[in-house]
Formats: sequence, C-alpha cells, structure tokens
Amino acid sequence: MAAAAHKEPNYMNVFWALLVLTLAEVGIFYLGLPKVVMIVCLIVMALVKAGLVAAYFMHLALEKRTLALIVVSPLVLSAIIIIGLTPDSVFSYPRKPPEHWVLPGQEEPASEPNAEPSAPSPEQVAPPAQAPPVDGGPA
Amino acid sequence: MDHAATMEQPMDPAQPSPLSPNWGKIMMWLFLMSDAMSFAGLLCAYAAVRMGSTVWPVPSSILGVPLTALNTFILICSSVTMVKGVSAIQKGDVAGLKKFLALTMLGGSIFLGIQAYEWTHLINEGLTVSRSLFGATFFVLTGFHGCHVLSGVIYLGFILSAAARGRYNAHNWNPVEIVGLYWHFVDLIWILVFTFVYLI
Repeated sequence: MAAAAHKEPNYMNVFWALLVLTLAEVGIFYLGLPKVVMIVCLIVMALVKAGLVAAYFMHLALEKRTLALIVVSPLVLSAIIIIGLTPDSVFSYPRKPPEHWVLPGQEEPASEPNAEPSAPSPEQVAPPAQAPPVDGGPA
Repeated sequence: MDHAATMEQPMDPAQPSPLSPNWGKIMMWLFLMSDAMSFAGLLCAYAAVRMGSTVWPVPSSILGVPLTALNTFILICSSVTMVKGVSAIQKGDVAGLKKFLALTMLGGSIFLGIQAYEWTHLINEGLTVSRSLFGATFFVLTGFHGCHVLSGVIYLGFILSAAARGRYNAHNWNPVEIVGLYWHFVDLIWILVFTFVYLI
C-alpha cells in the first residue's frame, strides 16, 4: 500500500473553531432569542461544525474531488427524504382517525350490515359506544 | 495508477487517487455514507414525529444541556487526539500513535460513561422508550449513536493492539487513517444529534 500523506492542516485551529462554535451554540441556546432565529442559527452552526470535521479531520478537502463527489451524492437523497416529509409534518392535517377504524375499547363494530335477522337483544339495542376522544379531551 | 487521472493531468503524489491505491478508505467512506442515511432517516422520523405532535416538551426541561455540552466537548477532544495519532504514525512515531489511540479510546469511554449516567438518571425520572414519543425518539437516536461510539472504542482497541505488535510504520498506516474516518464520523453525527435533540 503506497500511502501518500496529505499536507497536514492545522488541526488545533480546527479544534478551536469547533470549541468556539460549540460554546456559541450553548450561548445562543441560553440567550432566549426568538425561536425561529435560534433554530436557524443553531442549524447553521451545526452544519458548519459538521463540515469542518468532514473537510479537515476526515481530510475530505485534501482528497481528490472524486471522493468528495462520492461522499456528497448520497446526501442529496437525504435532502429528498427531508423535503418529502416536510409537508406531512408542517401542514396541519385532521388529527382524527378515519371513520372505519376500530379503536381499542371499541372492538364491537357499531352496526353489522349482515347480522342475523333475529329480534335484537336489549344489549344490541343499547346505543353504540361512542368513539373515544383522540386528543385526550373530556370523555 | 489511475488512467483517467494520468490522461487528464500528471499525477500529483500529494493527492492520491481515491480509487486505486487506497480502496479501504473508499469502502469506509461508502459505509459511512450508508450509515449517514440511517441517521438521516432517524433524524427525519424525529422531526416528523415532533412537528406532527400536538404537544412536545421543551427538551432542555427534561435533558441536561450543560452535561451534554461537556460530553460534546470530550468527543471533539477525542477527535483531535485521533488526528494527532494519524499524524504521528505518518511521521513514523509508533509510540505517539499508541499514546493518542489510547487517549482517543479514553475519550470515547468517558463519553459512554456520561451517557450511561444520563440515561440512568432519565430512566429513574420516568422517561422511557414506551412512555412517550419524546422518550422513544430520544433513546433511539442517542442509543444508536452510543452503539456507534462503543463499536468505535472496540475498533480502536483492535487498531491499538495491532500498533502494539508493530504493524504500522511511516509507510503503512492506512488502517489507522480509516479508523480515524469512522471516529470523526461518529463525532460529526453527535454534533448534529446534540443540536437537534438537546438544543432545538
């Protein structure tokens, strides 16, 4: 294995950058900024830190461009997962189970279309159990 | 020699071909990217569950941010000792390699110890996988990462024992660089998990 050493980056500078960014993250967290500002700042700083680790500690910036392409291309797929999931998470949708679901505690179907035509017993005449509230509202 | 590279430009010896001389490094990178997809899936599931929930606790009201910030710092330090180890063996310094590998393993072990302490504390407080979606996503994400740290410490142990048997020198250190890639990746993932699970 003919191993060729890269020109070595200054690892201590990377370390100090990571340390400062970590302290800044915790600082911003305790600063009590508006939530959106805080989240955007935190995500940007985390991505910068991750990029520093990949580029210098993992030598990605010093390798051939091909390796960086190999590495970055699957991350596009991750971005597609995120974009695909976002509408479902962000936009509100009715948080109620579909009508035809049988929920625990409600195993008896409310009405059986093909039930035997005998005279209904008093139990069957009783009103069907109400669907339990889903959001923990008053029973 | 990489034919495409030789046709386009003369080979720069400081820039080894990513494909021919060092296939182990490519394989580790490919594994790490598939692993990154696993973590991306878990993080996406966490985001979807959290944003789709009607109620979600403020994470810092349950989790200890200062202790975990310290843990993040320890993991970053262990990444630095790892690059120092790789740098030492590239200069042929086997004693330095052994020292820095041991320090890296120590950092990983301290990280795991603090995480075990944190988990014990949280479980005693009643946070479990089945208690809430918050608990489920928290334990799955940090647990999956913790398994990676544990595997990394064991992997480093194998490399350290090979180093102790004199397997590496200034001309043969690829396995050391490859374990370094794995270790830095675990650090990188923790940076993201710390931000998304503890701070946001």
